[in-house]
Amino acid sequence: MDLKVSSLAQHADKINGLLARYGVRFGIYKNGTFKEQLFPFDPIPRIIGPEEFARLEKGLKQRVTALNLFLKDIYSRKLIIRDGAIPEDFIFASSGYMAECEGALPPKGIYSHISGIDLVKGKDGEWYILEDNLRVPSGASYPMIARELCRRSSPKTFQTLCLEDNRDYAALLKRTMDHVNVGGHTVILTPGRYNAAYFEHSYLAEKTGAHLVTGSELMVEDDRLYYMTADGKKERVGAVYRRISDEYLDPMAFNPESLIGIPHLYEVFRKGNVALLNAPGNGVADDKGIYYFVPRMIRYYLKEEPILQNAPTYLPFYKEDMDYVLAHFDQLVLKDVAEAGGYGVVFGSSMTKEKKADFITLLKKEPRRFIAQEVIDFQDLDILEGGEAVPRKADLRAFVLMADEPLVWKSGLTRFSRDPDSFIVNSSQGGGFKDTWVLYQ
Amino acid sequence: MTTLHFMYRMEIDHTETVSRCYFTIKCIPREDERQHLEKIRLWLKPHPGGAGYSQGRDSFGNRQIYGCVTEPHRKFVFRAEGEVEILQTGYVERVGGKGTGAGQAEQIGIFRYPHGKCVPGEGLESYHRSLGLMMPEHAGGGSGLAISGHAGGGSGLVIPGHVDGSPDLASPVCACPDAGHSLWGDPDAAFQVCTDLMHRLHQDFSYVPGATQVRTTAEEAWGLRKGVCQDYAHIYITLLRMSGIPARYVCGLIAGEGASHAWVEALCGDRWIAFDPTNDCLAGDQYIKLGHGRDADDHGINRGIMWGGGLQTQKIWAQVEAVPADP
Repeated sequence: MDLKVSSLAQHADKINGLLARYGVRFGIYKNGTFKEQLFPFDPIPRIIGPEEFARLEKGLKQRVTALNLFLKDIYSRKLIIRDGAIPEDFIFASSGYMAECEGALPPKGIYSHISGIDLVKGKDGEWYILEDNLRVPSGASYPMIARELCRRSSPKTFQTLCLEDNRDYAALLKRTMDHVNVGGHTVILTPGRYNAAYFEHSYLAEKTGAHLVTGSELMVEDDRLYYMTADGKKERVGAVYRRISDEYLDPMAFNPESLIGIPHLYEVFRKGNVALLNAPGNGVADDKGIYYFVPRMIRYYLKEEPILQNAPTYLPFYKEDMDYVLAHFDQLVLKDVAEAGGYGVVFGSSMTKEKKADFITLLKKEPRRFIAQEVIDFQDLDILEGGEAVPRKADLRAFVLMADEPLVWKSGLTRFSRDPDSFIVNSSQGGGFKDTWVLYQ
Repeated sequence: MTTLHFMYRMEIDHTETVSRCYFTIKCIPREDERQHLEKIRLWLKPHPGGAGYSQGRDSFGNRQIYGCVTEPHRKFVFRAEGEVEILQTGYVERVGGKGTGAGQAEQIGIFRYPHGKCVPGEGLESYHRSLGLMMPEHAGGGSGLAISGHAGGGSGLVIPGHVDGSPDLASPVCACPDAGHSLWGDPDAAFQVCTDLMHRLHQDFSYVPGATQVRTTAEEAWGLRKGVCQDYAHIYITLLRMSGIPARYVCGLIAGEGASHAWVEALCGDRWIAFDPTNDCLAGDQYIKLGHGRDADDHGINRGIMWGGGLQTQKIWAQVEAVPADP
């Protein structure tokens, strides 16, 4: 194995060059300005063995199934609140909860068709869930194209490996989109080519055979959604894999300033005449506050014990947790539930005395706004830097697709931090990525 | 029983031609235990054409018509006319009663938390403190919020005996037998808090048209100490929710002529009761409810997006009058 990996390493520069040429980029916001940068690829793959992956797969299916049931319940009967498993504060006061989504049941009752679940592997060998991304999780295209390019540049490496082919992601995605399509074309809705993930939008469209469209090519008429073809014809659309966020989807239902949305699209959805992947309103199930309750959701909806564990988390909302947080402040990481992408994360140990006092005042004033977590001692992965292997923090974004059954992609996006001292591996913070190899027996 | 005839007309004039316009109009009175829609007629000009518009309900159960006008125009006119029978005035609907959508117990939380234009800032927080009401506290565990004792306790407010011009004031209290779902377990106490808050707000805030805009939030309006019915409603809702009482924004029409009106429904025990903070009274048989939401943004009578059009001027004219009873 080592030999083969090293042969890939020799091709690293070539592959990064090809990735740049294909436009594999990632946009980041830093100090208020938007910057697009290459998403550096590291040739040493993360390797997951068959047994280990089988357990991950089972746990991920379980988690995403429960999250989907939760979303369906929250936007209709809310039994989980009634039965006291989740306090309503974490629903109605959550910025991810959208009252506009009350009572609008998506086709086949699926809310999160494409879920990106972020995990880390601890030094104890256990996988821990870091967060769920149920809105518009991105990143699947990077390991897809990286694998493609690696195979091209180093075909021999792949000849004898018992390696799951991750290029089937397009087929899984197509199956997921077809499953909820209510009749008509499937389109991928992009904000346009200046979007940071435009490469991914176009790549997935090409690989699934869906039309890549912008909002101005779609229109609503008579409670149906149509695609305007280049020669002026109107063709019915049955499913939209939208890569724009909820608030910009429909200026008549959400943010009225949106120029990239489609007026009345939401009414078409409400009447069941189009599928939106993912459904609007999913933010209520993936913020950092609700994360704490996912194991409860699994027990509540599935009557099962969670297979995959959350990182040990405390909710200052509960008095005993608040007491614990105050007593162990220096060993915890505190996260603002409203923030994402690695922002709003602070380590208790890194605060000055004054900053800590201010933070504790804020915490006591708005206990619902924060969660506290034990700092997980996660396994480092080697990356190549200047021809040498050096250890870095890395996580894994696993992709779970909800079609006629939950499907876990046998790969995933492994992201690493390039800064040796950083624990934050989010690509919004400017890290790199690796391919994720899942082996079979 | 009163029957009210209503008319609502909206006219938008453009300085340039509009080539395409999407609209959503929420102008059909909502049916509940308080009012029954007897008849309704709607006019749109230019007419969107056969398949050009649709009907449905929004997520709060409010009726809406929406569509697209593709005929080039410089004037858009919408008119609704109909009759509403006021069945009773004690309450609007019971939780779990006949009302659609948000009448259900599970949905009450939607109206219990700060949202949109009804988020308190320092001004409203300090005002609320000065009123001496008790705040709900966080639960130490289990579900939801704890009820922080009895509403009457610690209140520095004088309990008024009677509100002028609101003969119905006493009746709904007696009609609330079940403690139900309000944070204030005691519906009488909740009702008392609603009434007290309304009186105080009426004293401390002035009705001054033009001081605020459609976009003004509760906190901003409170800073000015003046505004119109929408501001009264937003501030009142914010204060009620801070006191642990679920409250929702109501958009509707009121007897007489002029513009549309806004008031508030608060949950006392298991009943939604309509208070009009602008007029410091209960919303009686002169009020036609169109719909409700968490704040004004959830229920705008009209919302539109147009291509072209230049500058626009909007004129609204509403009229409500009692239909004389048959001799």
